[in-house]
Amino acid sequence: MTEAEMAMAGREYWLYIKEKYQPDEDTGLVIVQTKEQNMIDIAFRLLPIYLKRKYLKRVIVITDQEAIVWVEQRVESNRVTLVAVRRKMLEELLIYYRLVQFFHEIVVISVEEPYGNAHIIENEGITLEDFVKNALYV
Amino acid sequence: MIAGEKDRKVIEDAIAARAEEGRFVKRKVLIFGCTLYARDIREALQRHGIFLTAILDNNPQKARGTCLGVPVYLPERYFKECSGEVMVILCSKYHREMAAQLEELGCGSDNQINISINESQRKEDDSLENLKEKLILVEKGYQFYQELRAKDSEEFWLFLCPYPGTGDIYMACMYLDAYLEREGIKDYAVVVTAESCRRTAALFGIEDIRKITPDEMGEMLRAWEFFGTDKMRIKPLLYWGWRTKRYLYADDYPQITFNEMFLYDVFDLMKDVKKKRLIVDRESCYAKELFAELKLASHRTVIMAPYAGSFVSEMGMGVWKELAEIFRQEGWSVATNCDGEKEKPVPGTIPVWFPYKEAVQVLEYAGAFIALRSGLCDIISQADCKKVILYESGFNAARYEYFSLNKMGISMDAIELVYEKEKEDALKAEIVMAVLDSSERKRR
Repeated sequence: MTEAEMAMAGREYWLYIKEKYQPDEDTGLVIVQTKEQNMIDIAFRLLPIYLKRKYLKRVIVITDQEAIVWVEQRVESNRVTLVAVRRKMLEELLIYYRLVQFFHEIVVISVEEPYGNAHIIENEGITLEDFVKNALYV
Repeated sequence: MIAGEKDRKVIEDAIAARAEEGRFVKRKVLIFGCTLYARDIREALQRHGIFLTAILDNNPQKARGTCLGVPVYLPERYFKECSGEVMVILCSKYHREMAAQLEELGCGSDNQINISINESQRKEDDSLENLKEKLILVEKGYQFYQELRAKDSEEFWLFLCPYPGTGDIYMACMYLDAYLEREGIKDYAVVVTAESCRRTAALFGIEDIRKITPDEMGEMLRAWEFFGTDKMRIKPLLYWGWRTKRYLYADDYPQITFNEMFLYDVFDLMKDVKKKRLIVDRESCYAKELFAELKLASHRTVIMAPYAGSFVSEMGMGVWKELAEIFRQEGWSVATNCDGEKEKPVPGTIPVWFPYKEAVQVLEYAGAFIALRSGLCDIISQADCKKVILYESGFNAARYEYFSLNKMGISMDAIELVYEKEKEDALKAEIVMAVLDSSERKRR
């Protein structure tokens, strides 16, 4: 599959999510790209801060099927809608995102390029938690 | 950063329309956010005889001071302490949450104006047409990338410096050698969009520097954002314009400066890595000849640099003129660094221009330098002279906390002062004290 075809497939998947979960302007979309459990832990712990800071009423979290059990245990808020997808679908959705701003509020939980950058973490006292809170959830 | 012409027009039109509707009548007018658009909003308001009352900002550091000559408040504090009908102008990619915050504080949509600027807002569009249009753009960027490196080997890397600012390329070049050595990269080019960047990179001994247009740069960056490094051997050097990439919001971390962003975020280097500095030609006679030609006194000349490419200062020409007068009375020569016709000399001073490669020598020959914080300050940071560098509170482009030469470790002896309109007289006195030596100060 070419990158363009993957982006097309990502769009189809987004349209399906949109139809099924009806996100509106008070909804955020969080895509969990990382497989690192520590980062997922931090991201979910800080989710209430994100909702408050961005004045969001709910958030749709899209995550890898393989990580869903881990993620489910960490969701406390009833304002979170969890959507588990196959890894391939998740990557296609991200390739689509790299091309198009398809929703107003998208956060990718990742330190990989082009979504984030791990380099500054653990330098000058900056922690992974700082990065999630003040880089991703901004 | 300065707002583009198209954005300024959008702001101008939006303010004109709302003024005609009478929406500012009998209201205090506020702007939400010390953003790069705030100045243009203020100027558009002034053209309709409307004056700004205050700026709201969620950053407590900014909310302690002033910006554009008006106080900056935390929104909660403003609505707690101040009374009267307001009209709050929003012009930011965070407009949705700003509007919600205002609503929560009792300032509803009737008291808000949202000015929508493409670059400032995350416009969503999941249509097929938009996807196809974006695919065409990334293909165009990829083609340009292939053309740009058509004659280069497979191993060749392109380092993209998207900004025209000399400070950005200076920082990148300071760490580039260490990065190349660690990665084992021998074949590369630095790609820039401005002649000033080309000249700055050349000062560090970089031979292959390729200048392209800002549009070409934008297209390549967009293509890289889509295809990634696997397909494009590109390394972008700090770029704030990413839609997908998130950077640490440095305002909450005083230990993070512009320098740390390059050191860690861009290059992933260690703190103790050696910074490469400019190679200064100590044998050059340029400064001596320039001073003779312009009849400037060696070691008793103040060179003023009242212009910066990245922001428009609130410090008016009148202050520069007064300073020039004081130094002249003390027997100093005073010159203004003017690069191009748009940069007029401070009244009563001699216009001067010198190439970057001679800048350190010229300033050392002069004796004193007073400048708004700009990329030129990075270039002259190693000069052994009195260097007074002026920052401005409020705007990100000139913040002391983020751009201080001393904090960044590229100078140890810069005299760094923050301009605030209401403290102008005190600032002038500090500048004079910084330049004049003790005997001259006693005389005053």
